[in-house]
Amino acid sequence: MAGFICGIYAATSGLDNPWSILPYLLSGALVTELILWHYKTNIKFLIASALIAGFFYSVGYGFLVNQNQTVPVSGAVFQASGRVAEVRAGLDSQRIFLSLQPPQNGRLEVLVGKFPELRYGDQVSVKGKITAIPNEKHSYALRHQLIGSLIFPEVLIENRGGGNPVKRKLEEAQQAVKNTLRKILPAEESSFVAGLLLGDTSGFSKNFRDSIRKAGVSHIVALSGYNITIIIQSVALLLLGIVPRRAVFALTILVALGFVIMTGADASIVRAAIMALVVGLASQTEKIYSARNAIALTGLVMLLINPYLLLGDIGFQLSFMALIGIFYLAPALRKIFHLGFNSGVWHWRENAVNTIAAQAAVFPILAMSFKTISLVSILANVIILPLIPLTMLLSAATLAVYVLNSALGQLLAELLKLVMRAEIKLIDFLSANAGAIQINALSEIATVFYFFALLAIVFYGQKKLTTYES
Amino acid sequence: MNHNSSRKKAWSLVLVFWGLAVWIFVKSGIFAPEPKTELFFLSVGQGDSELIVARNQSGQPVTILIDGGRNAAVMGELDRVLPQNHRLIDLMIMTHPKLDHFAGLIDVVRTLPVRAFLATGRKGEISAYDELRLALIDKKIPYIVIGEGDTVRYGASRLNIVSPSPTERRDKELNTTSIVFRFTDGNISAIYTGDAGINVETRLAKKYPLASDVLKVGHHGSKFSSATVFLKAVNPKAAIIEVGKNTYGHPTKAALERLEKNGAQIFRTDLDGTVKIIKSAQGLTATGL
Repeated sequence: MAGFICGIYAATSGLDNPWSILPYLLSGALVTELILWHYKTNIKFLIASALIAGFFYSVGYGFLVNQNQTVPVSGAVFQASGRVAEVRAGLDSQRIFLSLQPPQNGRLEVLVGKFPELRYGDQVSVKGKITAIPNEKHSYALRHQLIGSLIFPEVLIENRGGGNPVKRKLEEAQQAVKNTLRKILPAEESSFVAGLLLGDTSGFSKNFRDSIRKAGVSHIVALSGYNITIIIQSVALLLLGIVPRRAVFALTILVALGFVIMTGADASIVRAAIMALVVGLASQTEKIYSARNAIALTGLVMLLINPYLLLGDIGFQLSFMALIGIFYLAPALRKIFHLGFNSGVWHWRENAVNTIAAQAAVFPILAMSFKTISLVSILANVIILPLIPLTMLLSAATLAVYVLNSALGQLLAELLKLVMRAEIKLIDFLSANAGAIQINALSEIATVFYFFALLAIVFYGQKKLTTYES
Repeated sequence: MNHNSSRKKAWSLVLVFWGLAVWIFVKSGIFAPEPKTELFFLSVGQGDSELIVARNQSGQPVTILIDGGRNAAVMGELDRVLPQNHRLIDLMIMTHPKLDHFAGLIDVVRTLPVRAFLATGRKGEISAYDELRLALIDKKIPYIVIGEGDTVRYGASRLNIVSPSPTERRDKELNTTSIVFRFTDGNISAIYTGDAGINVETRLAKKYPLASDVLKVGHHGSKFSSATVFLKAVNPKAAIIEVGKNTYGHPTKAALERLEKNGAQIFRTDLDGTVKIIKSAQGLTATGL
C-alpha cells in the first residue's frame, strides 16, 4: 500500500514529465533498501512492485484523462458552453466548475457574480478572457481536470435542470434544509449548523471563518468523517427497531451515498463514507474490523479513482494524515504516557491525545499551506468536540419538528440558539486568545526529519506494547 | 438508594423544564420596558440599509426596512436589531433598483415574513433584479408603487414621500429615481435620501419643510449629493453615511466638509458599525453597535 502511494506520488509530482522523477525513484529505492535491510526479500519485492504499479497506474490515468484536452492560451478570449458541475456560493460571488461539452474537453473554473444564481445541472455559455492555471496549482488543476479559469465572464443560462437527476434532487434538498435553517435561526447560528450538518461553510462571515480556524476547530464544519459517522449512526439507531438488520445496513449505505453526492463528494467525506461502510460491512460479515486496514483500503480505492488526489487535494492529505495520527500515533502516545481509554469527564484525555496526535501528523501540511498553527486547538477540541454530536442531534431534531409543526420547531430552535450561542462565544473567546504561530517556511529536510521522529515514537510505543504483553 | 437517585433525577428534570419555561417567558419580551422609536443604520459594507422600529399606541413594534445592501450581510445585522418578538418586516422599501441597495433584500424576502413591498415601479436592469421580482412573486408579497405626495401612516408615525416626481421617476440616471422620504413619530424625525443627487435635493429644499433630527446622507457621501442648501433646510443633528470599502472615494472630502460646516455630528457605518439612534427628553443618543 505504502509502495503504491509512493509510486503515485512519484508520478504525479513529476507534473508534465513523470519520467523526470525516475532518478529520485532509484535513489529512494536505495534508501528503502538500507532501512528495510533486515526484512525478507519477498516483502521488499512486494513493496517494490507496488511502487512500480502505482507509478504506471498514475501515468496511464493521466494520459487517459488529459487526452483531447486543449489547453487555451492565457489572455485569449474564450467562448464555450457546458454544464455546471459544482457551485460554491460566496457572499458576493459564485465559484463554479463548468464541464465543457465536446468537442472541448475538461473543466473550467469560473468566478461569476452572485446573480443570476447558478445551480448544479444548468447549461450555460460563457465568454471571457481565459487565464491559464498557475504552476503552483498544477496538482489542483489535474485533480479537477481544469484547463483554465475565467474571472467574471459574460454568462448566459441556456437551459436548466440538466445533469444527474438524483444529484439535482439532493442539491435541492440541501438548499431546502439551508432555507429552513435560516428561517428558524439567526444568520450566524444557521450557517454554523449548515456547516455541521452539511459541511457547507459558504454562509460563514469572514470573522467566524477566522475564529474557527484560529481556534483550530475548522474540522467540525469540514464534513470530516466525524459528521458522517454521527449521521450514519443516528440513522442506524433510528431504523434498528423498525426494520431488519440487513435492511438497516442497506439503508445506511443509501443514506451515506446520498449524503456524499449531496455534499459535492469532497475528498474527506468520500473517505469518511467508505470507512463507515467498511465498518458496517465488517460487522455484517462478523469479522473483526481493523481501523488501520480500513484507512489503507479507503486510501487505495480513492487513489485508484483519482490518483491526483494525493497532491492536488489538501482535504485528502489532511484527513488521511489526521487519521494516521489518530490510529498510529495516538495509541503509541497512550502507551508511552500510560493513559487508558474513556477516562476523565467527557473523555477529555482521549480527546486530548487524539487531538495532539492528529495535530502532530498534519502539522507540516498545515504549516506549508496555511502558514499558521493554532496553539489553543487542543484545549478547544477537548471542550468543543463532546458538544458536537449533541448539537447535531438537536439541530436535526429541530429541523424535523419544524417541518411537522412550526410553532414547536420554533420552541426547540430557541434552545438550539442558546447552545449555538454558547459554542460560538466559546470559539470566539478561544480564537481571541489563540496565539496562532506564523510559520513562513518549512524546509523539506526538516519535514522529512519531523516525520521520522513521529515514526520513531510510533515504533517506540509499539515496542512498549509488545514488552507489556510478554 | 436507587429510589433516592431516581427521585433526584425527576426533580432535576422538573427544574430544567421550569428553567426553560421562565426563560422563554422572559425571552418573549413581555417584561421589556416600553421603548421609543429606534432608527438603525445597518453596517452592510458599501451599500445602503436602514431599519426603523416604530411603535403604535399599545407599544407594539412596526418594522420598516429601507434597502438591503449588496448581499446577505444584512441578515446578520437584522438578527441583531430586530425586536425579539417581532422578527418580520412590515414594510420593505426599495429606494431604487441598484445592486448595492436591493440585492440584500432578496435574502430578506426569502427568509423573513415581509408584509408589503414599496418602490417606485422603476425596473432594474441587472439579473439580480429578476431574482428579487421572482422572490416577491413566490412569497406573494404585494408590490405597492409610491412616489412624491404619498403618505404612509401607522399610529403616530408618518412617512411623507417627497421624491421622485413623475419626471424624476423616468430619469435616465437611476440614482435620481430614488425614493426620498421624511419619517416622524411626533418625537424623532429623519430624512432618508437613497442615492438622490444635488438636483433633487435642491428641488426638495425649495418645496418642502425638511427640518429633521437625523439625515441619512445621500449616495454614500458622494460629492454629487449633500447640497449646502439641502443641508441647511434639513439642519440635522446627526448625519449618517452608509459606506464600506469602495473604489469611488466615498465618502468624499467635499461632502464631509459641507456636512461639518452644517454642524451635524457625522457617523459612518464603516467606522462606527451599525448605528442606533433614539430620542429621549435629554435629546438624541447615537450608539455604534
